[in-house]
Amino acid sequence: MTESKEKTNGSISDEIDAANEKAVERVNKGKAVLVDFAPAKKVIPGMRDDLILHAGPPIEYKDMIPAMKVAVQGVLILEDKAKNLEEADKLAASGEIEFKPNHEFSSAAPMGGITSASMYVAVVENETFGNKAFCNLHEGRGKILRFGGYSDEIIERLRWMNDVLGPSLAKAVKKNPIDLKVITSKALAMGDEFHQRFIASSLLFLKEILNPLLDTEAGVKGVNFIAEREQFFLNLSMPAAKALIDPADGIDYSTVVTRLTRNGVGYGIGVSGLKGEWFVGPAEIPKGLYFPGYSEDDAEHDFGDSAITETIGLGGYASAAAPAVTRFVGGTVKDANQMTMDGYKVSVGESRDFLIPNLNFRGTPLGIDIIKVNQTGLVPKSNTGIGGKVPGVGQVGAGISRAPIEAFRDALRAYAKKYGL
Amino acid sequence: MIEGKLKVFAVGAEWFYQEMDKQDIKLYKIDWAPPVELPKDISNILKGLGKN
Amino acid sequence: MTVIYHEVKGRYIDSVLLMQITRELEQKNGVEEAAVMSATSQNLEIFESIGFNPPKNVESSSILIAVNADNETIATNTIKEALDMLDRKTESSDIENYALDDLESLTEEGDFPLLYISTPGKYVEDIAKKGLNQGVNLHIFSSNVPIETELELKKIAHEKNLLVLGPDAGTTIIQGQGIGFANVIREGTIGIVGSSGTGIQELTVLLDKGGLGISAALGVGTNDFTREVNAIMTKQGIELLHDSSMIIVVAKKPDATVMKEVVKILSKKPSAFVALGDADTYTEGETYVTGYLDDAINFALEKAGKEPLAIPEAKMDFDLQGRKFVRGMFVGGSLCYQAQAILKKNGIDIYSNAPLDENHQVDRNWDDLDACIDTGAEEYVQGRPHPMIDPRLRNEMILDECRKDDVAVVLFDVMLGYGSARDPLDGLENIPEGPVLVASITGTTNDPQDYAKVEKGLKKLGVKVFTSAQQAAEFAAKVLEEK
Repeated sequence: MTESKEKTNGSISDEIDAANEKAVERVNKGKAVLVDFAPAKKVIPGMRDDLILHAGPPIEYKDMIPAMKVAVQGVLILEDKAKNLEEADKLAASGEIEFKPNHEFSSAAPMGGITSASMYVAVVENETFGNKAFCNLHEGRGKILRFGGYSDEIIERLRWMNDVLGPSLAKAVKKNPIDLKVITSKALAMGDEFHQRFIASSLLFLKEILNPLLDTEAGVKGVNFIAEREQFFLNLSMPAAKALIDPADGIDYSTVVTRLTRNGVGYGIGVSGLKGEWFVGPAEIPKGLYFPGYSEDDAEHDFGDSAITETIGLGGYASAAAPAVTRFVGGTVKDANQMTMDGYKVSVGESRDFLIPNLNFRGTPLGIDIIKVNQTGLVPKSNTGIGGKVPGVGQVGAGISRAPIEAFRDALRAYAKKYGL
Repeated sequence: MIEGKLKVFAVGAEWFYQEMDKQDIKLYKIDWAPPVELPKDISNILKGLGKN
Repeated sequence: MTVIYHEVKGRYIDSVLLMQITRELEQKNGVEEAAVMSATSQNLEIFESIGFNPPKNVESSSILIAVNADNETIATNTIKEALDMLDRKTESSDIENYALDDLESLTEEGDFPLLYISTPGKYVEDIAKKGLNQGVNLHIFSSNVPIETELELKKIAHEKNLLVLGPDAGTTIIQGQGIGFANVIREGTIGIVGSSGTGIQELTVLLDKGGLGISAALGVGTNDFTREVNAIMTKQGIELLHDSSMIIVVAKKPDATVMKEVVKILSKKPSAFVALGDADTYTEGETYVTGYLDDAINFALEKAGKEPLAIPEAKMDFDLQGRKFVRGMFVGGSLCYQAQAILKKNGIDIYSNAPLDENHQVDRNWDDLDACIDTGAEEYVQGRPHPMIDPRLRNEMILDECRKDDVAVVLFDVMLGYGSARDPLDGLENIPEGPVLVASITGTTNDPQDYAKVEKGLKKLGVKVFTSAQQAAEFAAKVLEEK
């Protein structure tokens, strides 16, 4: 008996639905456990001495925004590959250093996202599927490397983080692995949305790590370091999201978005059924409120891997759980709810573990569908920090950034080509 | 005369909605957004999927 | 330059709200720099980096307001406003959103449902049909709807005994409620049907000023009196309001044949028809036909046993000194049109961007011409709010005319009511001396703006204020006789 392999457009719809359901199921089934901290080269497969990872879609050093360039230069100094910024700049531009997106190395990091070989990174394991994801350590706010800050103070702090804090956290966490997904679920009911607001989750994490960390070299200083940083959980939330979304990547026919990330120049997306391909549109300046003394003239375009949070149904899609964040753009409770409701319109399913109390504990929208985004024009939106153009200035405000519709159009075109539509 | 209980559904400009809201009118705001304008090839792909 | 600091103790306010307050303060006139933040040591550094020198003894848990303004009055007022904003309670919104498909389920027995459409014209057809299919009357404010679409909608509506008020309809008043641009009018028994929005507004306020009231006012849209549309909705409206004591119809440049038919329908009962732009005045049956709004009102007043509209005395206390031109700057299109008709009747060769005839078209340059400009016309409202909503552009144009040394009289209209700006005189401060200033206020004492305050404000600027637009235009013509 011969099997008819003719695919009508009707049945391709079924293939897509089945593939997407599988993708959402994989995210829901996943676990995200913080198991270790270690130098990048030791734990990130493929990491090398002459490789630097960055946020966003692929970009060459010469095209990077100033804040990212200075972060690269600072990191080269930290790696003892250059003595000063000028030397570092020359080295970076020389071609001897390779630059790749974090996403291509199972990583995700905020703002500049610069990750190098000897930098300590968090290791998050998805125990359901066995995959791991990584992210550098959270520096804090204000004058820091990830915003392009460079000074003796910054370098000194980074050295301490690498020499003392990293190994101490490793010791603490190896004795007591921490379930990040549980913290996320709890904190969602406490007003965190996991793109801009991490107050509750950072405190919950501190609670878990406090005693184990006291019993290490970092000790009280380490505990204080974490306590002072209101967004410490940002650098744990991102690898947790990466660990959860990666098993949903590479499912044939699936139209679910598995990457959302920016580098200040381009905003790139990735699609499960188009594994490894990047679709890039222009990164915009987020619309929002500026801190006193700053205005849009000081603002850099959207950068960072933090939009990974929207791929697992958090961030902008969880706004209904965190109306305080939407106020950043003069928004109201209604606007916050609207961002979540718009999410349902473009998503395949709902999260089983991330629930919104105000919506009768409905799960957040999960599985952004490029088809629905094309149909409705409702691109993913994030509540995000606005970085300063001038390297080192840090955060100048907060606002809403949108993914470019062009990236979704291109993704759909590529999808149609690959699957013969 | 116009008989019946006046009930107004407003779609479009926020200004007029606000002005009518200040009066004694039973007023409903209608959610509406302009239909999305799609490039031709995208429109074709979506049609092919039966999702236009 | 005045800098003031104010410490607020014992309050915790979200930093986001403080940022919003800072932003609002900075946008005020005369404020150089402002910042409202909690007085932590980190934030005090930020105050310094912006140029402030905050007091050292502020508690770190306090909120510090810092204002740098042009003078002490502004600075003090700004601090006061900041304190008000800190106490401001946000309104919780109970309003739910509905979709276009919900209209039928939301309409109950005994309702008069009306869908108010103010989207761009190209989307109107779909939305309108959805409304009509669910048994809902329409008021369409939107313009740029093809006339074929208008005809189709009105035919469908007529079959279902529903109203389509518009497209391009500015004003409707039903049961005392204002739909679109509308004044608050005494309740009464006179019905108004019109294809001209500001014409309707002027009729309603003049009735009110004369002591009468309305049953309803229906705006049927600027194209109802074209040959194609053939006044379908006007006729339906007249029928609907048949138990009014009198019906007044107003139309701008109506097609002669269509008008004739409507007058015939009206002629069986006491009524009036105002055909703006037409010079003829006559009676047909019980219908008084005229080209001027006041004349129709006075007809109604007389029928009701009331005095005609009072005309304020205006002194001819000016010396034109060689000035010779009249410039009208209007927000109401119909009032602009009526003014032209009145000026023309008085022998003035009047031009306009919305002229009485195509030989008197003017665009952007009216030097050496007598001109009346409709600032609500298409070319002026591209990407801007309508001048009734934001009259600052029109008011700036008034100032421009006053700066010219050959302009004898500047004529304008001030529109009150719902939909119109709460401060219609915004931008009219410091009118340069020169031309005679003549205006009318289309409004009532119950409108949300303060009529008395507006009148006083105009008089203070040296403007001669009249009860009606017709009176104002007639006075402007009289002024020109003195040149």
